[in-house]
Amino acid sequence: MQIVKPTTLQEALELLEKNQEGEIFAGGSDIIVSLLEKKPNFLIDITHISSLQQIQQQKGQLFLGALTTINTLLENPLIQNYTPLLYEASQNFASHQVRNLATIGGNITNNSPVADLIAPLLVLNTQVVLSQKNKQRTIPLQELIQQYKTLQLHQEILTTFIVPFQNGFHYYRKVGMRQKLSIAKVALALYKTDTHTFVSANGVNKFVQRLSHVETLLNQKNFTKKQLQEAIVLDTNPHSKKEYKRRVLFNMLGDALSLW
Amino acid sequence: MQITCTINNETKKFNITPTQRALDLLRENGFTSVKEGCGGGECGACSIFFNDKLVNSCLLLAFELDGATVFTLEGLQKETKTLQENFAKTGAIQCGFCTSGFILRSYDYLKTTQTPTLQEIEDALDGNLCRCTGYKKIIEAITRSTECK
Amino acid sequence: MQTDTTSIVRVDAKAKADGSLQYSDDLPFDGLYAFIIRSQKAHAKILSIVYDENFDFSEFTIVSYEDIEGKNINPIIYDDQPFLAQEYVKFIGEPILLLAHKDKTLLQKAQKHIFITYKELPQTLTFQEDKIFKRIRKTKGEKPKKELLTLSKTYTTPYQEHIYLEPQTMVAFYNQGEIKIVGSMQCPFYVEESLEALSGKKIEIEQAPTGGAFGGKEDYPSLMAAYVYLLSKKAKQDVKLTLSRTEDIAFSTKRHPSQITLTSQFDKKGKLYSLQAKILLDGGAYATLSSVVLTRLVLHIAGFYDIDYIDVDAYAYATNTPPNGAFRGFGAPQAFFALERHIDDIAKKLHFNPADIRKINLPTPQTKLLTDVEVKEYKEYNNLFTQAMQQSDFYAKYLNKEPNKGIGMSLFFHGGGFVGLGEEFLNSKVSLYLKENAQVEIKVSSTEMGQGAMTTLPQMVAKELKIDPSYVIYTIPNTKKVPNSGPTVSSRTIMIVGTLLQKATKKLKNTLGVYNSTQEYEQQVSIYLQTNKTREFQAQYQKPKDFYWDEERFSGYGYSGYSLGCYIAEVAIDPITFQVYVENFYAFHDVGEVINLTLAQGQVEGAIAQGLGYALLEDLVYENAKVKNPHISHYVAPLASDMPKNIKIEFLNTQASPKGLGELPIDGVAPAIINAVANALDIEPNTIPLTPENLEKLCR
Repeated sequence: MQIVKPTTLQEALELLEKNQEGEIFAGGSDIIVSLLEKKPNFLIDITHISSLQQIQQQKGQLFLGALTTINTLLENPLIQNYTPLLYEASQNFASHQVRNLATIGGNITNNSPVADLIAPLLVLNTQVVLSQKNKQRTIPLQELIQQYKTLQLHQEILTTFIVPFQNGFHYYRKVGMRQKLSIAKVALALYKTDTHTFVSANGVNKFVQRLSHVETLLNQKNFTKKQLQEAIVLDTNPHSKKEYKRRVLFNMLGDALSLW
Repeated sequence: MQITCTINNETKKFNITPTQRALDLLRENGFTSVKEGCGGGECGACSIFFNDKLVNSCLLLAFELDGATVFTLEGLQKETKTLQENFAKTGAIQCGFCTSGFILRSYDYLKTTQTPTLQEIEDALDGNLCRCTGYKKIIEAITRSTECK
Repeated sequence: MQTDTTSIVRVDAKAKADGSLQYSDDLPFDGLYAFIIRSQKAHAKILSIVYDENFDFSEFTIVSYEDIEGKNINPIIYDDQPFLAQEYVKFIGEPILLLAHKDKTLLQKAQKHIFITYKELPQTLTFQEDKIFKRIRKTKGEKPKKELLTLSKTYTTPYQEHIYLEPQTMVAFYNQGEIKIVGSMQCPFYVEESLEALSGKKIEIEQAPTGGAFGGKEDYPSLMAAYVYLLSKKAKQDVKLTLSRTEDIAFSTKRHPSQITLTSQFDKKGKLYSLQAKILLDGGAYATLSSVVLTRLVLHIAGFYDIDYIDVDAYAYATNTPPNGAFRGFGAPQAFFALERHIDDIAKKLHFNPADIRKINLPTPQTKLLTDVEVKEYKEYNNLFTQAMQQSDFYAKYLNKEPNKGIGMSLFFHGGGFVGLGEEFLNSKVSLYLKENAQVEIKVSSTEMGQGAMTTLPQMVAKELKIDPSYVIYTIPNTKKVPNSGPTVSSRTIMIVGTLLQKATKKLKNTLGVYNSTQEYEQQVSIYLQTNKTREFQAQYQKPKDFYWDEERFSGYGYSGYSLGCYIAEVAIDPITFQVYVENFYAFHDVGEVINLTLAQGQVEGAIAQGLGYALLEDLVYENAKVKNPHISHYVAPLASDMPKNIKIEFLNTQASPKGLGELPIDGVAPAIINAVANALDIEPNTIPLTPENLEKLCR
């Protein structure tokens, strides 16, 4: 296996274009087992590209480099101040040691149905920047999360997350198998502005997505408990049995509603 | 392939294979305080300082150590002396297999605070598993180590 | 409050704290790595084993049952477990072949080039009456004739995995035809016995520092040792076998899951008159220790309660799953979960305080147990209960119940040492060696696995000699260097082995004459050594005078001493997520003299963690005859933030002679916590783990 370590994004993109079978290596703490099994021939180690690890703010938005580690998110006051929902979600992410390695980009591109940061980023209307050699595009994160497990980014590298400053109320709650260092059973991310309420949850669908029926309901003036329960069912793969998770989501939403 | 890194302030050159884990490289070269408890980043027994950050070496590939600065417990004896003594005194050690990981994490954590609450210490230890002690005496040892400084 | 003079720092603390202590996998090693080829079928006949012609096996050492020179049977009790599968496989994961190679990474690859074909046979995954390892059937007393209330409920407990931090590891060192085994283990002489059956020879076995065991390294290391021995012998090289965590979770021994139906009869005051227990214990594919686990379960199932009629029908049965084995408690956690939940269920039926049901049934001098004998400790048990209720303020707290909060208790005990005639059978021997420099070497086969034996045993000897413990050195257990004082299991280390050491020490002390200081002690030793050749002082187990046990009639004392416990748990439940938080935990014990208070507290705190995991978190799910998700990310053990916020630990009656503490604490944790949850939500949980999902189901 050949390993190359570009120090600029441009270098990395050129390598990617030249080597179709190359695998991007961004630390891989989530995927190290499967990576070792796959035994790729060509590894492009992008962990030395400092431009991918920056956190900047501009015009009411945060620009988060995809290789920002979770602890870096927690340590940077910009996150706690401007995107506190993301901050809270990061606090319950794995363990301290893992947070020093895991990256926001890795968590999203691994696209696990129990990924910790996708739901918060979705409800915050995050956009992602995807770069190719000579091309760059910015799309809503929502569009990127289309498939189950590990997004196929073809010849693109996800370089930046653009998260607007929060301006409203948020709620985050995660239930794991124990208090800390746990894969989520279910987690709720909710963000409410003056005009709209955004809701997403992990652990309840093949890939993390917004709960559209619940959102529609919450954006109405009035609704009943029963309606909310029904909306939750519709948003969580209605043909599957998930009584516990649905009940917990219902409780969490009630908790959120009582707080705002 | 060959890599160069600094381990406990000494420059080291190693011949490695691309899929070798940092954990194995360290252990095979005598740094046996770094233990394998699970191989999956869940127990913290393999914790090391990697460019000043405490990480699970079972989740690092050896080639990532190239150009990096690494510290293991072997190289932090002076810095962790008080912690070691307090762990011993309070009964925070039973089988000892998790101990080096806890000592490193405690040292790492106490760099950020000298007045932690019980909850804060518990939260800080979210990456270290112990099956013997029930954690109470470990927390006591950490608390004692703040008073001593 | 007594001042604590016992808590000397454990002797191995420094090497563990500075990271220098070498466990089995830390030892310098330049040999071959071993790998186990395991059965993919739960029950099958092996039809063929074919090695891919296109794969180069020439550098691999391959071992099958055919390489066994002695008997292909691991000698444990019923002797039904082969080291390596021969014609049949009886569980997924059963070892069939062993591979060794210098390059670890090639082993997994080689596995893919060995093709084993099977003829599948019917699987047994539930209790079948014709597939049992042992049945215990015993009745005591007469069925009550008067009219009584009755309650019948079934309680189930799951598998539990030890998750010792150090996975199973074993090394065979090859030196000019001689093999020495070094590894992580609890019982070097068990390993010696197994290898003697395997090879026909007594092999030198040495325990390396062991990173946790909890029973999981009682019998499994014998298999590990057999595998490295066979490979080492064939390859004529050093061989090391380490199980990955996933492999360990999937295939090593587990706590026996149980299903216990208790049917009780009682009057309207809650006084018990009858208790019937139907017990089912899943032993896995081979008997191994199941018969003894069953025996212990049966001997604890009725507690020490005063019950006229006790009727037990208990089965350890076979299934096509990996054999279950020893885990701290060894049947008692299962027994007390059922019994103590049942007491609370009776209290609920009668609308009584659960403490009062226990109170009215506490043992008296007239109480007779299932095994027809009296409760020797009835006074201590009554006292323990009273003290626990008082110091925890149980009654007041029970009355002042808040929403989603609850209090629960458990009253329990643990018989120390081997059951029945087991200690006589073990016939343990200990030895002390007096050195020129006045130090005393302890030679026992008791192993240090974190519990502190290498500190507490010297403390006992030092106390007897009235000298500083630094004079007493514990010898690393090596079968060629220490006598067989029995396995390090069954809470027998202090109670049986420690007591024997005290006897041997008395012999030594008697030869030394009088001394009143350390200096004088050294002088006496010097005088003694000048004129005497005897350096070694021994003691051998003798059955206590009034102890008797009739295995056939299941009658007698069971154990020669009992440790006693009473635990109280206060919980709060989050109504949003159904998570259970244990807020306060009170742990009261009577284990007689506490040799080292800090170490004893550590045993209790560690057991509370394991018991809490057993009760609330640890969910080992089997599907299609194997562990569904054998990853430590899915089988979660408690972290610091899962522990009860406050733990209060008390030891009563510390003037009495010391009894076991290793297992007692884990016996009472789960029932106390689950009783508290039952109280909090007015529900009747009868299964653990009570995960949030399982709790939510009960709250529909």
